[in-house]
Amino acid sequence: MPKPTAVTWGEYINQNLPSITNLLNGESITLNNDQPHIKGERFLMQALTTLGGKKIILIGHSQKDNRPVVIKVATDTDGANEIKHERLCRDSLNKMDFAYDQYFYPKELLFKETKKFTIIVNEFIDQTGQFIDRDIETQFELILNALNNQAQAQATTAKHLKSVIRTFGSRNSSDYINLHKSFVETCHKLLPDSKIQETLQESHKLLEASKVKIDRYGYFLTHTDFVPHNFRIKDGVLYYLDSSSFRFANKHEGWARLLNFMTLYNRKLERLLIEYVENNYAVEERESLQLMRIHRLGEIITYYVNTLKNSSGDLLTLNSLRVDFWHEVLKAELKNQRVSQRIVDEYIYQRDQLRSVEEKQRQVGLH
Amino acid sequence: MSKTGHKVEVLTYGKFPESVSGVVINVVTQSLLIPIKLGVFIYKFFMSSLRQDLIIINNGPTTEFPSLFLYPFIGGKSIFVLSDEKATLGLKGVRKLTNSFLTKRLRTLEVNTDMYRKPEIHPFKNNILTEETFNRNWSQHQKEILNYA
Repeated sequence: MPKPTAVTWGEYINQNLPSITNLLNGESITLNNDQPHIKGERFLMQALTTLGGKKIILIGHSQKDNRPVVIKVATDTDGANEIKHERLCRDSLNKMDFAYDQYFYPKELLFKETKKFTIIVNEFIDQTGQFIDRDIETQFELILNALNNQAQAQATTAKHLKSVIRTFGSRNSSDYINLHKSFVETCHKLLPDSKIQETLQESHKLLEASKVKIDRYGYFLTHTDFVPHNFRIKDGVLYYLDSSSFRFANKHEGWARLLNFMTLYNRKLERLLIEYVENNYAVEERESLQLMRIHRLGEIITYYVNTLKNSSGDLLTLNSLRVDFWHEVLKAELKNQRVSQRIVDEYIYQRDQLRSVEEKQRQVGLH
Repeated sequence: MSKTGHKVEVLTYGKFPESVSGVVINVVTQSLLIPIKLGVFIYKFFMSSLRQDLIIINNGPTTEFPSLFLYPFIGGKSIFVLSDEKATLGLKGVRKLTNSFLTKRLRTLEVNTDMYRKPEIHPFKNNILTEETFNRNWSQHQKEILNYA
């Protein structure tokens, strides 16, 4: 498989975009001139623990009513499978007979398969403001409600498990431990002299010793990529944009992903959510949350270690910086502490210096 | 109840329960097939009933069926607590019959669980239920149960 680079990604887009444009025109959909989601570091993005096919995200509008739409296009089997999996998950979300709450997602406007492309067009959920620009109280309420809403669905019986695992997939302590082991191995292979390996070995050992703590909160519905660019809010309702990231797994995996994200974007929200868990839930829940954060930090480090071989220039410097930054976060989390604000501020400053213009454009309005 | 010197044993479905200070928690694996799960629950319930002076049964199909089965042995020292509203909604057939048999034959106590929820510590909301009210409610509930017994 050829290495993904900005050049090969650009060629890939140039090769496919005219055909996609024609195809969508035939369906009365016009693509916008500016396509931020194919710019910047998008070419590096490869999911580490999911299907991870090649997908192009585009924005456009319907010619009939000028309604804005979001288009996902896959050109390979993995990408097509991911789109189909996402549809299946989305359609199954509100059909689980043991779930008490409802889940919202954008309406599908078109699904089409051709010899070359698999295309899904969804309505664009127009929100009044970005999540991270909302006041802290609103952010806290929205997140807490969404996480509690996810936890309303737990597959506890053999019948429940049978009905949902094939659709959503599941993960138990052994899966987390095996995945984490693969993170250790990848980092060992790609960064043999780094201290990161030692830290990842330590986190792996901790997870191995905490099987019961992880499985105590097993088989809950959790959105494993629960970050602001994967949901939008309209009229107080949270819409999930990526249904394929729902899984029956540890209850705190979605929490962990969000808290790790908030280490960078909103430390106050991170602190408030942790305090909420400490004040209102059992000690065991807090332990489980810490373990999930550690696991997901291992994943993000491995993700960036993997990108190093495909990066050069400023992007290589930036991704090395990212590896070091998340390593610091992991070291702190292993001690059940938060990384210092100084380290976060320094990282943000350097990141902003190194990000390309295109990536900065891609980031506008993303969260 | 364990705080006031009672020896408390909980029998529940699950796998790895959270620990509660001073309480022995007995679990029956939730993911077992229903007949096996109920059989194991009935056995553990019976053994536990031999050790206890008072049995508090929380409503729900998976506790009601074993209670019906063991009724001749446990009926005299049991209280049937109707606390799970969702479990009583839309009951029909055998489940409805089981529930009404237990409601009629056992000393039955209907409780509003909202009164016994731990006060939520929320960064932006004042607690509707204070720690003091929470403790008082539980103390009253305990008296009510012991009076029933």
